[in-house]
Amino acid sequence: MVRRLWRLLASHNLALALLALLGLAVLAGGTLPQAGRVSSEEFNAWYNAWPNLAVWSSFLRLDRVFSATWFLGLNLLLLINIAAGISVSISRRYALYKGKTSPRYRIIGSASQPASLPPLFDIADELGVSKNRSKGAIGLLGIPLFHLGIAIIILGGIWSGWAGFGGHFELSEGRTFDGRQDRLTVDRGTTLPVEFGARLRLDRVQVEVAEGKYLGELKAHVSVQQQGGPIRQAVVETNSPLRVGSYRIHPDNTLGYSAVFERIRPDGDRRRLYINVPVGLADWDSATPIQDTTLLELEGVPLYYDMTLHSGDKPELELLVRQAEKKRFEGRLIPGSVVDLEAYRLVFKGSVRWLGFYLTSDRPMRLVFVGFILTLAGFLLHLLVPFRRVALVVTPEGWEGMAWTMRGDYRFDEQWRCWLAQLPEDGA
Amino acid sequence: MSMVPQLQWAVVIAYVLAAILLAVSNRWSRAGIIALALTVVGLVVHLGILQLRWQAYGQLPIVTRYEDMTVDALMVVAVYLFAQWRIPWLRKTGLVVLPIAALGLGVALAYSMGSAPRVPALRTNWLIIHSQLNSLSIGAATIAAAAALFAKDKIEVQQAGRLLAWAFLFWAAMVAAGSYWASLAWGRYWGWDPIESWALGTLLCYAFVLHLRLKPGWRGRRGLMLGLIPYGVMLFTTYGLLLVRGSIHGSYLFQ
Repeated sequence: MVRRLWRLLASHNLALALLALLGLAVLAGGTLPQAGRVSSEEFNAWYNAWPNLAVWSSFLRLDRVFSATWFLGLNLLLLINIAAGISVSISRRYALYKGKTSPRYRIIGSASQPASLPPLFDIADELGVSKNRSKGAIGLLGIPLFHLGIAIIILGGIWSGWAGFGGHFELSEGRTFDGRQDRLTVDRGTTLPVEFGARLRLDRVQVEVAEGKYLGELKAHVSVQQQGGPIRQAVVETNSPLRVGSYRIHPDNTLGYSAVFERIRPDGDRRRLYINVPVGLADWDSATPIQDTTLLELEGVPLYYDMTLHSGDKPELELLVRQAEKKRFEGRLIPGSVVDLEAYRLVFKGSVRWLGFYLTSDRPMRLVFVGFILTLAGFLLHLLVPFRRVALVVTPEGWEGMAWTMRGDYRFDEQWRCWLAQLPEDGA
Repeated sequence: MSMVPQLQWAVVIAYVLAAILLAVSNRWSRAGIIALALTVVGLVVHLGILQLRWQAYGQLPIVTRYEDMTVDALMVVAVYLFAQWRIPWLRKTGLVVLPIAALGLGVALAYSMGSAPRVPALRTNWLIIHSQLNSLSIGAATIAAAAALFAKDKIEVQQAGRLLAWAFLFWAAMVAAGSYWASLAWGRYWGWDPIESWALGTLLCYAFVLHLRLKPGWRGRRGLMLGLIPYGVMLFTTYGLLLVRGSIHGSYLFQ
């Protein structure tokens, strides 16, 4: 029973079935809109446009392929199949290396020795004695290494999906981020896997817009202090993330201006308040006022802020504050202006620039890349270094030539046939 | 730069003429040698077109759809010339390969020949590695697909099967390079974006065919012909998918 199960798990047919199913699943997932990976509007529009297909897609969980349990199950089964296949493959290859399998080529000669040198033999070899010659033994490791790499990628991918973390946060010039969860919009994982343990201050934003609409340059000049250590300066830019402990911080190309306030509570407590307004690249360098509406709940009071921000040297803010439909404040603010909203007061301080960042932690990612390297190296080894073993055995009746190669080694095939052509017909 | 379209059409004609000459030639006939010479001249001019563009815009021409298709066509011809030098019977695959390259080059002209400043995410050597591996795999896969149509005896079938394996390797390397680049640029190495999913789907299709070819009934031409399916998937992933699905790749590339 155990042996049958083992044979099934290591079988080539199971590998074929899993490859076919995974291929179809991945192509379906890449074609049909996936819930949570496209906007809800796009998803609903597709659902309404293709109602019959959508019902089937939903029934088969093809609208969330990559988070479906069956997809994970297929991957795990492939992992087991690969692991079992590697062990079988290694034992077969070891037998091949030792010449303990049936040779792929065989010839028997009646003379005391062959008339010419078989492939792999060199001029110094004596033909009248039994000898073995082999080449490219390391090539035998190619396919097992390739499969080991794939297994590591699957393992790393599953682990990464479970342990990986990613979240967006926004930071205005002069403001500090210390890893507080409530500053993050998490899109991967739930909570920070380990303590952030650092303070990150955005010192300066450097944005250049080319031809009025293309992002030419985006650099965040930051100061970082880890675990109370010395403060270091760094530049964060695309393709060059900032490493902070086990975290990496990437600019995510969102940017804009912040309206900066001082919020004063009735008990006299003062805190900075930044309201970030996103800006499109086309408006970044222009003097066009930027508009935004945001809902803020401070001191238990939810308020809508309708803002028109004039950034630049003389910042101004046109502000309308509503509670439901009731107007609480309307006016034009310059730095120093005060707004009394009963639950708290606001002092407008001006405007600064902000950038969006993506905070990520994904230790298993390294495992995936190790898997990629093994996969590529293994396959390259398989293609470039063919294993060949030739044995010449002298017997009382004459001699016997045998060769072991991998399937499809057409170059050796040619060499062997060439050798055979050199042998006299009556001697071999 | 103004003469580029004319030069490009000249290269298209050179490749088509070479294919026609190959159709009427024997292995070492004069027509066959002229076909090869025409292909080499076409390739040199093809390379010159890209060089001109590089000089004009000051950046490697590998980003827009026009550039991508022009480089892919170049790689198809370059891989063909290399392959037929190493394995002479592959010369006749030019009958299929050269018209495909000519078609790619012609279709490229239908896209905008303009350029745009390169956004920060594209200013990395990983773009060069990723895109060139993509072009190389399309080149190898095109030769493999054509070889599947022309292979006759056992050795030719084995050689065509080997080409299929090379196409798989280059595509896998392209996916790996893209994945590493994504980890640097976006903070994640895999996001199940439609292009990423179809790239993996292509890889799985090739893996399926390569595994199937290990089975006794599929080692011959039948298994080889099945390799045309992943080739079709590869072409759709590269050129067709962005026409029907939105992707983060489309927001940076192929404008």
